[in-house]
Amino acid sequence: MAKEQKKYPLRTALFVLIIITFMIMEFPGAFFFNRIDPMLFGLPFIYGFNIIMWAVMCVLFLIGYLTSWGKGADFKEE
Amino acid sequence: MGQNIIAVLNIGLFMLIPLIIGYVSFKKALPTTEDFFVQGRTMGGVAVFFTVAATWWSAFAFLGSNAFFYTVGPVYWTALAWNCFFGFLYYLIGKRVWFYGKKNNYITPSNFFEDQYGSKTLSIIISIVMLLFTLPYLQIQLSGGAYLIEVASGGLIPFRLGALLFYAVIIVYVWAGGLRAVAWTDIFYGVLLFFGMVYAGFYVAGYAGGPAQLFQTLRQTSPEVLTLPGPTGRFGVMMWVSMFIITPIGAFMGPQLWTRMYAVKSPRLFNLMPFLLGFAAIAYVGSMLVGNAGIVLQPGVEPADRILPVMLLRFAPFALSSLLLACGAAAAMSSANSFIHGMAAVYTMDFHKEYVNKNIDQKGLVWVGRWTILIFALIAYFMSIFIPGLLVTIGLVALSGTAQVIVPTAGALFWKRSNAPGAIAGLLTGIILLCLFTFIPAINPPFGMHGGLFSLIANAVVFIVVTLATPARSESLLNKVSAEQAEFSEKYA
Repeated sequence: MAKEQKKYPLRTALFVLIIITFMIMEFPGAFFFNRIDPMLFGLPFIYGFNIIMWAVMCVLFLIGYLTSWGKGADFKEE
Repeated sequence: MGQNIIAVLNIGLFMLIPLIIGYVSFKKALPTTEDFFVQGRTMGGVAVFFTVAATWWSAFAFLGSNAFFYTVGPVYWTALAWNCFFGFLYYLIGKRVWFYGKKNNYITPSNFFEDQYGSKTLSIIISIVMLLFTLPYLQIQLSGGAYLIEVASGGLIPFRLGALLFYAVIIVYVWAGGLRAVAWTDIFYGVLLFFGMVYAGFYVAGYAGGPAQLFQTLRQTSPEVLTLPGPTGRFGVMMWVSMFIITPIGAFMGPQLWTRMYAVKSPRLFNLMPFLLGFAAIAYVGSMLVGNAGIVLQPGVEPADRILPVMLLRFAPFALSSLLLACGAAAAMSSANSFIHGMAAVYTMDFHKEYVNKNIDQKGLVWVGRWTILIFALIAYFMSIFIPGLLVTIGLVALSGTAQVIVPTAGALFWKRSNAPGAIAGLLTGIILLCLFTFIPAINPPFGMHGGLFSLIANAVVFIVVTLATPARSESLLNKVSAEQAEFSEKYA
């Protein structure tokens, strides 16, 4: 009988959020942020909005690292 | 004239330091292919991050990015996302490649494909693709570095001589120390280029009244440069998406990044790389500011790849401008050394050892690697002289070629049904389409997307269709693959 694969809900959640963030930064998000106004941080919206989403992505990546990508902070790799 | 000579001496100093580092690493070198090409799989965390980042950031980023913001609008800003994507790929795929490489003693990318697909033909095609498409990317590093030297010296050192100097310095330390020399010098280069990119941007923008005033000015005078598709009308949403997909995948699939996946000592580092590489993307704020400030402060610079050095020499104190130009040279050199080294590994292990001299010993192979470094760099040097073009334009074609390899890679890692006929058919489809789009201007991909992206999609479709229409891999091979995948899933995050 095949060994049952463990499920990691946090990993799934992280991957889904990362994909959504990429979609916001790329497609179809580009149709939304492709404008000058409102200015953010003194930058046109296309620039300022992507800086915000970049920061969101960095937070997601940091959570991924700290939780061994969903396997839990206690997971020990060889 | 005197100031230009001092600038050249500064750049010379930044070339001398890597030579010293190269000598130190030479002392630690072992005469084995595992040491010369993958540093004995012992590369530590600091070296891995900096060598990956410095290899990834090249003249394409340091000079080309400024030129794009300067001439075609904000499309290059998709780089924030692609840097994150690159980091994520390094975790998702890089860690798996590392594991299989360590388990099966892979040295080159083709070792992976031959072992996972059981196909020598596929591995040869991939080696050829990597060599052919990495060469133009190497060419633009030499071009970028030569531009910097020519501008900084006020023409004292012309383009051809500048490219030759770059070539010579890289040959010496890569020859001596292999991947270890490359990685250690990349720590030095990586710090320089990050600092250079960020500082140059804010410094130059200051002459336009600071970032906020700069964009208020552009909003009044040239609003078309602040949104897609930019002033030329050719770089819209689909090009934004195309560059996001092609650039990181193409760089990731180059032989220079494959060796960096194999060389890593600890798997835990892969978990951290998305954050590190993603965070480092903020350096592109510098390029964005330089390019946009150039529109206001220094319009009409040709070729546009020179906008950063031209503006620095005009606005920055001499000492600062030569330092920042040296940072640009660092970007070009840190990538060039890696490309040359990666290509040498592919030729030496995949072609020379297999078809020229099967009985050659380890020491002999290392020497073949060294001579190959010399020859490939020479070819790239002549290409930089006789094949001009915007750095990003040439770079995108090169990246589009190596990006095709992601399809069979992902197939091997995530789809057990994948097979060699599908991989070969998909790869050849992608490459042929890419060549058609590149060399026949009348043929354009649909929907405004870059030809590289369309080729990649076609590659994937053909890969799936042909795989499903042909027999699966042998049972014994699939059992091996399944066992390895299960071991990876159990032991690693």
